Amino acid sequence: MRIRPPDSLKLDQDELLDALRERLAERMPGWSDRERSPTDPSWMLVEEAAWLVERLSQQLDDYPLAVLQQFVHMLGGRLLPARPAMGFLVVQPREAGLLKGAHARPGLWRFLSSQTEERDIIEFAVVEPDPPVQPARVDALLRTAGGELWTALAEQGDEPLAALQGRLGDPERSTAFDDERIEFRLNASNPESVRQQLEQAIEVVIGQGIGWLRLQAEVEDDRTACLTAAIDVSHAFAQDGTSGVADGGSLSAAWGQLEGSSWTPPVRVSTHRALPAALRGQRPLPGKSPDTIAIGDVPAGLSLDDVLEVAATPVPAEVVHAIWRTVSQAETSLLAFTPRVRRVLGKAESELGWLGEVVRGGAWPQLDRPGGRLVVHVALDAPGAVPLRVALTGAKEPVVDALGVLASGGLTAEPLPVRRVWSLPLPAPSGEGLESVHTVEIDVGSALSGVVLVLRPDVRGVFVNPILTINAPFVRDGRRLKVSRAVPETVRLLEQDLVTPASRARLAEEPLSASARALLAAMPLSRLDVVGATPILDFEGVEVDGSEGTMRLNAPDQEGAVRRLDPGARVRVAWYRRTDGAAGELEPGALGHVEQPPRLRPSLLAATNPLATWFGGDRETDEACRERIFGPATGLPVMPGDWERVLRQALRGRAREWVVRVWGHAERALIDSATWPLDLAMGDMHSRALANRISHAGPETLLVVIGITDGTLDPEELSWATLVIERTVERLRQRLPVIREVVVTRFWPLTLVTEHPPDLPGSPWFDLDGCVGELRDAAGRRAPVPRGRLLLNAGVVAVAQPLGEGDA
Amino acid sequence: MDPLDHPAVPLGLSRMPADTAQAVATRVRMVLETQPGTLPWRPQFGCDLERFVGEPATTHAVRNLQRTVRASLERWLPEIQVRRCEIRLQRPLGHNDTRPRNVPLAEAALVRLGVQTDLVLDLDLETDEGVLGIQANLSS
Repeated sequence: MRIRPPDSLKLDQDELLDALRERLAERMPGWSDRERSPTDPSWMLVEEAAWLVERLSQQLDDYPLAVLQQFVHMLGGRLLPARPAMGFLVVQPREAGLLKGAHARPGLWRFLSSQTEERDIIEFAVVEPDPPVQPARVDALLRTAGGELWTALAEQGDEPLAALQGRLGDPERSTAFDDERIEFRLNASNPESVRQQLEQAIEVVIGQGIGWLRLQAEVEDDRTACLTAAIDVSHAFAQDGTSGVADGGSLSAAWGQLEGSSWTPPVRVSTHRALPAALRGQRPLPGKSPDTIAIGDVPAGLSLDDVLEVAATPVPAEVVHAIWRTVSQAETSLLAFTPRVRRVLGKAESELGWLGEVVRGGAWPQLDRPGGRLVVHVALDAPGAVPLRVALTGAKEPVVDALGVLASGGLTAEPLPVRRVWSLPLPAPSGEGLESVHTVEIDVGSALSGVVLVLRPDVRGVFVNPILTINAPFVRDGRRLKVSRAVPETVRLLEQDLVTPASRARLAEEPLSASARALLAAMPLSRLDVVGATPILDFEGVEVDGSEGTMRLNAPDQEGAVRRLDPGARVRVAWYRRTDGAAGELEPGALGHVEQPPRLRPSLLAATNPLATWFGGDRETDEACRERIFGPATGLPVMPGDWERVLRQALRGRAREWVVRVWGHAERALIDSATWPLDLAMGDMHSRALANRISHAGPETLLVVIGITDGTLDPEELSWATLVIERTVERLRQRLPVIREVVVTRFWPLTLVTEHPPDLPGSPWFDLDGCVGELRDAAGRRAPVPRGRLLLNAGVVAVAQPLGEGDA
Repeated sequence: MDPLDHPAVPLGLSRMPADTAQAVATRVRMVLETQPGTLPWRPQFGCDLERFVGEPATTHAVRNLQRTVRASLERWLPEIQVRRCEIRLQRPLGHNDTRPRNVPLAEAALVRLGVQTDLVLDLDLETDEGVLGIQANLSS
């Protein structure tokens, strides 16, 4: 829509006099029944007053804003169209399949919000081509930390489609391994005889003081004897005569070791309030006798469960071998047997059978890595020939290892292939800023019953069947137009706020990821069928006004291209897209309705948006348009400090805590400078390219260093920030052509290791003149402090004292 | 405060509302005494008498003046019908035809015609309340 001319503030004297006549006619009909003229002195006074009012009010129009708006109107300034909101949905399908054509054709799957007193129905459409969905659910969400397993699935309550969502809650110790047992099966023609040999071995093992190991022998059938081993800490204390309830004083337990192994159950004193503070959380001390442990000063009346905590960890594989080695050496006749070993989780097996497969498959070490991992099991209810798609929130990088759990038992031999699909920043549930949603696809086959995802510990939520959606539903127009003249002809469409290439470009200015931008760019926007010719797609060669709801045939599009339509040509307006602008920003769970044709497959049973939808915006107002084009508030940056301020404004709240440092040519040229790493041989390709580019950069080039002080910037965020900075410089270049190019690079936070901490104001410090010591970065690279040189892309954010010779 | 029952209230509390004759006379005077262009919001309002100042008071000029006055009154006082509009020359008081000794004969003829004369306007106007006669001196 073209910007409107300003409303005139002028009061017309004729209108004022007409109003007065009307009032007089009401109150004095006799006086006002004839036309008055200035020959009537009273009327002359009235006319004079009206004239003065008109003259004075006319001057109100001389305000600069009105004049500016008039200028903008005359220049043809156009209002920016509305910006559609984006978000993602999780859907529950009846069967596995692809949502084929959902992004390109109307009349397929539609996702709607409820109508409320404050809001009309808001509709979202699919952005990506053919997203896969399949019946699946988040079955378990666990955490590993310090070798132990914790349950961490937050209570979902009445949340819709809770089974498709796993959110991180407060961790609790897992009981999955409490009933773990190891079964050694021995084939023998006389299993009873073998059982007796096993019983003799058990007696010997008990005599060795391995109280925490509970062994049991039995005949399973006429060809098999079975030895069952379990870790039972209470058994160790019971052997010492403890009944399980402390009678005051110390507790001791038989705590012997297996043959060839130093492993004993990982236990610690609990944090029970009745226990002495010095004991809480400590490991038990060795007892007076060999192969015993003791816990002193235990108050009377506490049960063993109150006193002792056993780490939730599976029995290590080498311990399994050590158990058999101990038993077989206790009764040497058993050495001839090679038992079949099977590990069973006991009670937990019914709920966490997949975890049993992980333990049996020897994959536990993949779950228990330094720093811990988030472990999610996604159960596949009806696996099909489509990939499993999962969205992860909270993590900067979606590092995913996927293990397939076979329906027939066991794990797949190799980890499942994982592909990144798209990512999108959305409002965090905590309300603090945006958090990235990363989506991955995992190739699963029909032979799998589930997938175990091993994720970084910073992941906060896992969602099955995510679909990237946008508040840009289809409008099926269907009108048939006949071109009557070969000149621009305006067609008013059915909706005012259209999704056009301009609105897509406006959305692309938001901090979207490259993947989301690419999907948006590929999303079809409209289709006009031309009889006997190729259709017009995405308004190519047609002028469209997304803020007014009109298009003009035979008029150039924003790229300047015109699709010529001769008189007589027939055009059918098949469909286009509309948007609700800012109203499309919905709270979590607002999109809860699916509409689809009855026989469409896969059939979707339900859908919901776990996170709020975002990025919606109304079409530009006249005032905003005036400010954008003629805004006097944006001063021209000259000094590097000015540029830093402008770039921070452009990067908005996302870069609030970032380091944004701009170096102009004067600083680079007049002061000896250096880039990190100082020894380019230690740097990567980018470091060398940066050093080379800076050395050849002239006065028209700015160097912008961005990053965070407690790590390195996420590559996607760096990419987004680079784009924003380049566009900002490009825009300002049109007003001030002094700066023509910008080099954006990553900031390296450094630690200064020195015995003489300098007194430097504020961090980071780029100018280290007068400092001595060594600089280190998070990647472990070291270099002595450069003398008299300014660090351009790195700064000291912390000072440390040297610890030893290696740090000196 | 009681509402005014007529907007044409003269300024000043001691003044009584004007009667019809006085009101019509006032309006005629406003037309005749207003030079067009004086009121910026009605630049055509008035009667252009100034263009006759300094003109010889010939029969033709007096007839023109008469038409101008009638036209102005008919335009700006449409509710009043102008029945008679006459303009006659009136010599100033104290004027005589005696030729001063120092005035030559030829010039004395001009002086006899008068270098300055008064114009007297006689109007008969028909109003709602009957015919109203107004006489006015246009020179003062």
